Amino acid sequence: MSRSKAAGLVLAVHPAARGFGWALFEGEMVPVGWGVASAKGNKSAECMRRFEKLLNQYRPSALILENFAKETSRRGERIRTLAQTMRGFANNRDMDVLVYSREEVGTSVCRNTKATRYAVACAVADRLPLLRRELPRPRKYWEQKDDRQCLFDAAALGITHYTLTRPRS
Amino acid sequence: MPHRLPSYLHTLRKQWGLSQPDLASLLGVTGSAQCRFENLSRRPSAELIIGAEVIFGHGPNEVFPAFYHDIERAIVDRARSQVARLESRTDPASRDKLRLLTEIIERASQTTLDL
Repeated sequence: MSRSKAAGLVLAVHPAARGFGWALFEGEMVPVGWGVASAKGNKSAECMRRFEKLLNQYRPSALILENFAKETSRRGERIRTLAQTMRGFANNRDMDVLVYSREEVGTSVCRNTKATRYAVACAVADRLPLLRRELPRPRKYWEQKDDRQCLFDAAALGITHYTLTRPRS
Repeated sequence: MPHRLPSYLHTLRKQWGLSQPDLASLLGVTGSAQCRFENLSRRPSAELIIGAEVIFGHGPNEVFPAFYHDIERAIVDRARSQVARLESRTDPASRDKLRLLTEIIERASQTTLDL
């Protein structure tokens, strides 16, 4: 079966503490795959194994990540390194790699640079009804972050990418 | 759909909130077989293609576009060679066959343009 590199497929990935969320787009507002890859034990190695499997399965032409290198980013060292490794891995496969800051995501999805991740997730669920059933309920302050949140972070990166690269009329 | 993925089985399953075991039991296959069909490490069987159409209401050209186009391409190649053989004939049966073969080739070129 022909499995050539699919031009135009965009994979948005958002690494988090217990794995990563991913969303695959075929076009603006057209998600064709999404999920949360959970990892235990050697989390970074497991995440990279799952990430490589995704690239082999879908052969996207571009990878979208959040800019964790920014000084304002509060991501842990392991996740920053993981994002950097994913970036290098995609570069080695001749993929375009684009990074967007959290402010750019907030502006593109919610028109608010300081939007919370949950507000962004709600805006994503409004725009992409296919993902609505995955939206976690609002987190109580004593609860830990729902794993599905990183799926919405990834989808928001995809929306940001299409919003910022859309040709201006 | 612009059809950039080789298979949309995973997309349709997620769209309707079905888990892999849910879909596997609907299709009457094991979970691991369904997983292999989904990531195209196994060619979809006739039961799977028809089952997917029954469940999701989408034809094989929408659920398994890569597989569909591989078969379509092979048929078009064979149709072209038959056209070359029939072109010199003038009897009515040959004319009818020629018309069908030409339609096959035109339909295939139309679906290629739609992609």
